[in-house]
Parts: sequence; C-alpha cells; structure tokens
Amino acid sequence: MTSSLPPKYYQIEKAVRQVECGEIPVASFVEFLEAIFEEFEDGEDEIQDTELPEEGADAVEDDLEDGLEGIDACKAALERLAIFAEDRNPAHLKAGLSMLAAGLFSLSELATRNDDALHEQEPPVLRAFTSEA
Amino acid sequence: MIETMSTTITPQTQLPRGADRRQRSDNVEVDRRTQERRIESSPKTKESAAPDATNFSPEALELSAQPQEQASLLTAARGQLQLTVGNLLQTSDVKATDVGTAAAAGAAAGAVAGAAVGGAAAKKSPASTDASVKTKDTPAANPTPPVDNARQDDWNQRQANYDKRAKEMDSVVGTKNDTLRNLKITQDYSKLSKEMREMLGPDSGANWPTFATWASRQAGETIRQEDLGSTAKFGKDVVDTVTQLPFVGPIVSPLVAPAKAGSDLYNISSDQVAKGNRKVYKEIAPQFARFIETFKGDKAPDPEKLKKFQEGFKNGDVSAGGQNGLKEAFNNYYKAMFEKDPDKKKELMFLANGQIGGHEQTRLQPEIQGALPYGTRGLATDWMMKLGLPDGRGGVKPVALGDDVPTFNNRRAPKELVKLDNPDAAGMVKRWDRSPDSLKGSGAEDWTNMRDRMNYILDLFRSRQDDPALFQDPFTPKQTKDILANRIPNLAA
Repeated sequence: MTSSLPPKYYQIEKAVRQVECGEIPVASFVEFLEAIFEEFEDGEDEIQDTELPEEGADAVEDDLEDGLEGIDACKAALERLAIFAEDRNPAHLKAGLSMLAAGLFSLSELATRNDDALHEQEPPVLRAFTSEA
Repeated sequence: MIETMSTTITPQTQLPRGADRRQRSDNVEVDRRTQERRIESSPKTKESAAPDATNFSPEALELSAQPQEQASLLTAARGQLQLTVGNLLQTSDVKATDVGTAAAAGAAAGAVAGAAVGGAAAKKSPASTDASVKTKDTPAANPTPPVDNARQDDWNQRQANYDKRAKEMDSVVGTKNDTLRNLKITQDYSKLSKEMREMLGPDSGANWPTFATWASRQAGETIRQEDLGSTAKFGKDVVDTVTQLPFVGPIVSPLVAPAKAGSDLYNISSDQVAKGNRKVYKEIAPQFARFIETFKGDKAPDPEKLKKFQEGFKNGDVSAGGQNGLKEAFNNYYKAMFEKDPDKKKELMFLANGQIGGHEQTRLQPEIQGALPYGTRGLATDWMMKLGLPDGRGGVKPVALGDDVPTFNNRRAPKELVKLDNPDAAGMVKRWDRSPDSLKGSGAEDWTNMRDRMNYILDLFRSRQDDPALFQDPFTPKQTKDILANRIPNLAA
C-alpha cells in the first residue's frame, strides 16, 4: 500500500521524522499539522458545496461521500499525530501515520476512480477554451 | 476550530466529525440542495426526454437543453471533486520548517514561553494564518529558473516580487469578513487591470481584471445586500410564480415563504456570491500577478521564459480542475504584449478575456446555481441581476443582465473587433454568441445557464474593449485608503 501513497503522506511523514529527532520544534510541528488540517477542512467544504443533478448523480454522490469519509480519516490522523505534543509518546506518531496512510490511500483511489469516470463523461461546455479552440 | 486540535486532542470529542458537522450546521443547506436536486427531476425535466421535434418554441428548446445541462453539472461535480482531492493529495505549500521559524523565534522572545503544544503558542491567530500559510490554489513559485547568471538573477528577483504579492493575495483571500474581502478583491482587480494596461500598452484596451473590477464591485452590493430595494417586487413575483407551479411550488415554497421571500433569497445569494467572488480571485488573480511580475518591462518575446511561465498552470480541462484555458489566455496576452498590429492586438485581448471568462464561469457554475433557487431564475435574472458599469464621470450606471448589452459609442464593437480575423476569437464567438453580428439577443434569460452568461459576457467584452471609463477607480481615494488599511469605508460617500 505504501508504494502508492501520495506526496502529501511523505511530506507529513518527513515532518514526523523531523519532530521525532528534534530537528524541528514540537510547536512548529503542530502548527504545520494545523495548516494541513485546515486544507482538509477547505476540501471538505468544497465537497459539501458541490451541486448535483438528479439524474445519473448517484455514483457521483457516492464518490463525494467517499471523499468526505477520506477527509475525515485524514483529519483524525492529524489529530492523533498532534497528541504527540502532549505526552511526547512516539506511539501517537506511528498510529497517526498509519491512519493517515489509510485515509490518503482511500482518497487516492477515489481520485483514480473519479478520473476514470470523468473521461467517460461527455466533455462539458468548455471545449472552446481548451486546445481545441 | 483548528485551535482546538492542538489544545485538547480527544479526537472523538474535539473537532466535529464531518458527518456530524454536516448534520449539525448544514441542515438548511443540505435540505436546500436536496430540494433543488428533486426539482431538477421535476416533470419539466422528464418531458425533455421526448421533445416535440417540430416545436421550436423557446420552451421546447429549453426543455431539450436540460439533459445537456444536467450532464454538464455532473461533469462539473466530478471536476470539482477531482480538483479538491487532487489538491489534498499533493504536497502542501506549507512546510514544517517554514512555520517553525516563526514559532521558534516567538519562543526565543519569550512570547510563547512554555507553549509546546497545549498552549497558546501552538495556536494560529487568524492573522498569522492569513499571512503565512500559502493557500493551495495560489500558483507555486515559477518552476526552475533559466540558467545564465544575469537571467537567473532577474528571474529570482521577479520570483521574489511575485512571492510577496502572492502572500498579500493570500491575506486578501483569508479575510474573514465577506464585505471587507470583497472590497479588497475589487481594489486589487483594479490595480491588476492598470498594471496589465501599462504592460500591454494603452492601445490594448480592457483586460480581464478590468471587467472583473466592476463585476466584483457589483458582487459587493449583493454581499452587502444593498440591492435589496428591488426585492419586494421580486419576492412577490417569485411567490406568484411558485404558487402557479403545481409540482415545483410545494418543494420551493419553504425556501421562499411569502413573508420573507426576498430576504431568504438574498441570504442565499449573498453567501454564494461572496464564495464565488473569493473563489475566482483566489485562482485567477495570482496568475495575473505572476504574469505581471514575470514579464514586466520585457521588450521582446522570450520563448524560454514563456515556457517556464506556462509550467505554472495545472494541465487539464477546467472540468477536471485543470487550467488549460487559463494557460491559453495568458499565452494570448503575451502575444498581445508584443503585437504591433492594433487590429490583431485587440483581437488577442478579446480572445484572452473571453477565455478567462469561460474558465471563470465554469468554475462559478455551482455558486451561481446555488445563488438562485430553481424556479425563480428567470425572474431573478430579470429583476435582480445587474452590473454597474462606470460612466466615465466617477459614477456608475447599472445595466440589467436580462436586457441586451447596450451599445457603446453607438456601435456594437470597436472597429478592430467588428470582423474577427483571429480564428480562435472567431471560433469562440461562433460557439457562444447567439447573435455574433449584433447585440440584439445578448440579454440573459437565465443567469444560471452558462450559455446565457457567455452569450452576454462575450458581447459585453467585445463592445467595451476600448471603453476608457472601465479604468476608472472603483472607489474614492478615501475609500481606497480605508480598504488598504483593512477598514470598511463609508460606501455611501
């Protein structure tokens, strides 16, 4: 599973290693996690705001739900990582990374599935603004 | 919300889980969307499955267009999902070491003493968030600079200039107050507009930020709900219409209860308009800043530099979260920058403006549909939708988007744009403009319809390409001073 993890995972994993060996202060680590957490919240808002047509939207609706669940999993992982700041127990880092891997992996799979579905759909009205113009 | 993460850390009790959060705070919103979805499948839609091929009435045409619109909405939904998830999977612009610098410095100064994480130091104030965290849609630094020392120094300096502006733009995007954020956005569009004109030459005419200035200014009125005056009449018409639609009425009526039809609609509109205003600025304005900082002062085309600049766009169709349309548009601005033939130059400008308009309008589709409840859209377009355009004397004259675009200087387009020789510009007009050689028929019937919007917008862009009044300041000097100082000015002045 690890081999197909997205860049975000390795970025956070690197920060985990840095805080674990004291290369960066714990406060900085938490601030970093907060910024990432905020990105996931923004993503959650964007998905929640997505409008759907009635017909043929069931599959997309399922995918949007999957997206929200994946984001929830990642947010929970970030919270777990942040617990390290309280007790300095590296077990939280290990558990948090594991949770993060699962959450990001599910989002990654969703992106692949959604991309396939996009290609199956008729291109929308904006062809004129792409290279076909 | 983010602060609680660092202070208490009991996942189950801290941040509301997504589902709970949605249930608790977004019930109204979810209900509204659900209702709209139901409405989309109302009998009107079902009829469209078998339109009478011999009936060419506007109603029949509208019905036959609905499946296409639904498919478009479906694609847009998947595109949005792809963009959102894609961004989340990528490396964040925020680096642990970056945020660490400030925190460490603060700790050293004693300001955040003992603040390891459960304390205040680990929390980010809104201000620090705005200033230090680069939003994910802000274009990253230009890719690898060209080699050669002088060129590299120049590149690095330009990059530093852009980085500074990008941070300022992030701060604008992060402004919490909708009204103040809109004012800052409008002001910044005006600045970008003038910088673009300076770069591309006074004969280039209006650029996209020029028009965006006035669209954003108008959006501000909706955000502040200043155009509520026409709501009484509009609300009555909505209720009248709703009660005449046997299948739609029961579904829509909770949204437009007669007693407060107008204000409900405005609450929806205001939120969605604020969101759309922010969304467009967040994606497009930094690209203009990057263009300006990258090419400002250049006297001759530099293909290598252009290529590097183009690497700063996300590949792909806008429907999939890509920015191919934006890339094409900036390529055309670049060509216009060095084009000597005034006719070709104006056409390139018109093309680029239209391409960005198309990208923007696709991105805005969810917000625009969300702003106007189904069943009220035609009326809303008639009664609510307007655009205040500068009158050249410091004032603003509203034009109704439901009416045809008014002529400018008694002509439908500047002479350079009457006949379009640029094949891409001609193709764009052919695709979107229902009456390519006239402003008649440009008025929008339903502003939530992308084709209606583009039909109007292209005529607006084309007719006013050389209207100097568009470069008028959107605010008085005193108002501008307040906005730049993060204060909401007296807008009645």
